[in-house]
Amino acid sequence: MAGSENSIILTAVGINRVGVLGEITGKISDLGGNVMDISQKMMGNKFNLLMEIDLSGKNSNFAEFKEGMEKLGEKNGYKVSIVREKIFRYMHRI
Amino acid sequence: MQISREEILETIRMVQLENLDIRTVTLGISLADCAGVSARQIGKKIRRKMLKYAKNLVSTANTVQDRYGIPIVNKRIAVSPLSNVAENCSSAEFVYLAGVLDEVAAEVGVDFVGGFSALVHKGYTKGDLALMNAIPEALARTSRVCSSINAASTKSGINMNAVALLGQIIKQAAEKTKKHNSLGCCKLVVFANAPDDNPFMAGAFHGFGEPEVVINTGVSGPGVIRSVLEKMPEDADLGKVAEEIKKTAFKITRMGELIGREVAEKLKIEFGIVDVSLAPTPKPGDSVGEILQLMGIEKIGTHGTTAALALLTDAIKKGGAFASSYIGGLSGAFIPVSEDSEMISAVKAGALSLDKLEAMTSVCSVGLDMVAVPGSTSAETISAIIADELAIGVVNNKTTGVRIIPVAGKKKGDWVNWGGLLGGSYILGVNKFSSAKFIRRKGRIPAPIKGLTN
Repeated sequence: MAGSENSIILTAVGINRVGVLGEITGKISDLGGNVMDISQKMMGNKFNLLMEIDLSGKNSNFAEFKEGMEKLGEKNGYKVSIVREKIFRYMHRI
Repeated sequence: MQISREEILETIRMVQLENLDIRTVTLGISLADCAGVSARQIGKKIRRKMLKYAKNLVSTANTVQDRYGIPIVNKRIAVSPLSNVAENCSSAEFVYLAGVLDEVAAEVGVDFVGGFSALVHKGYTKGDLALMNAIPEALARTSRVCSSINAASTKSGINMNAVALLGQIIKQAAEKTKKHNSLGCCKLVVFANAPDDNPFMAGAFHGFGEPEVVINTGVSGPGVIRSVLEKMPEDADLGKVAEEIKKTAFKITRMGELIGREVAEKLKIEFGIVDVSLAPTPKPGDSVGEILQLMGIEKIGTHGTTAALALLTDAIKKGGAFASSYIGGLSGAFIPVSEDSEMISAVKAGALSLDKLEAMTSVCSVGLDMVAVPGSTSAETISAIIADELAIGVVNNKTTGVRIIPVAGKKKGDWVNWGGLLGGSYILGVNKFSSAKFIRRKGRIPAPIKGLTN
């Protein structure tokens, strides 16, 4: 599925604590997203999360997904950004 | 993931920290079918046609912006040169039509509409002359209308009748908007070899040979290039510097094309070109001057500045041309004085003069842009500055333009501020010797031998 039209990249940055990844993945599944790949790095006490998510499920909608995830971050003190994967492919691959 | 973590983070950093953005999505609309028997009728047709195509421009651009997380800063409209659409109109009627463009632009939510224009590089028609005489009043009465005049080309030479007249028009425009630091002049460009598909203001218009409607995009990103150079060793040779700039220009152009095509597809309008131009804004870190300083120029305007700018402009064009088959518009580097913090500081420090700026324009992609000169500068001197700049364009077979503001009531060294994207500047000095006799000769400077390519 990687690289499909419905593929998106989620990044999240914030202070690490117990359960933060569960919180994010839980919300992703509520909003109909399917996690295809995940990578997380720690910088001091901060987590830096990168995920590739497939949004081709029939219950998923890009605008709602973006809004829902960004709000989750605002509420819980980390910054979430959601971007279509296509932009990275376009910029970095010929 | 197909894309590495580093690549993803690089893109996100470019947008969030280095001001990478789509500077403009510009909708070109032909007004060829809007001719009519009266100004009122022409105005009605223009309004109907612009609304038809532009009503969803802003909302569509915003949707695409959200999808890719790349800001689309400006949404704009370029229309056919108005002088040809309203050939029979008087100057007063052209002012009325500028009002129509302004109203529709406000209604659809675009910040500028370009095309209050005439192409007079060989001579003017009745309509061209009426439009040119209407420019000072039209720019004083409207806020979103931009005007451009093509007064020279490599194929036809320089129309010195128009150049002489434009000196007076610019003075009048300055006088009519003196309460706002002669703001009217910030919305007027005089060109040589004006491109038909330039998406950037104030010089955008929908040229002849363009389709009925078209989407053109302008990508920018001085901050991104700056950051790449910052990461290089200080003694990296200039070949390596050019290589890094080229690679980065490739990436930002690809992004511009993707976004442009997506907006065009959603609006069901043909996609035209990507214009990859480093366009500075007054924002800190968004400066072209800073890039040249990173190359080793202490202050913009000192010896070596022209060479550094030549390297930069060429590397951007090469990266852009590889990234998209439809590179167009101006593509290169802009050096508007008032919109670039380092250019302003160079003027203040006495490093950058009008003469050096003119030399720099022979290798940049536009020309003397947003240059403030004393309000007492004569119309003939302004015409002569324009003539010099157009000569550079005509002889070198490139686009050059002049956007000069003789700020009413200000003298050399004074500070003037227009705010927003236009920024502010110290007033540059002009040569005190006269060019009046040369300008009063008028006529047409013949096309250079370079124009005889057939």
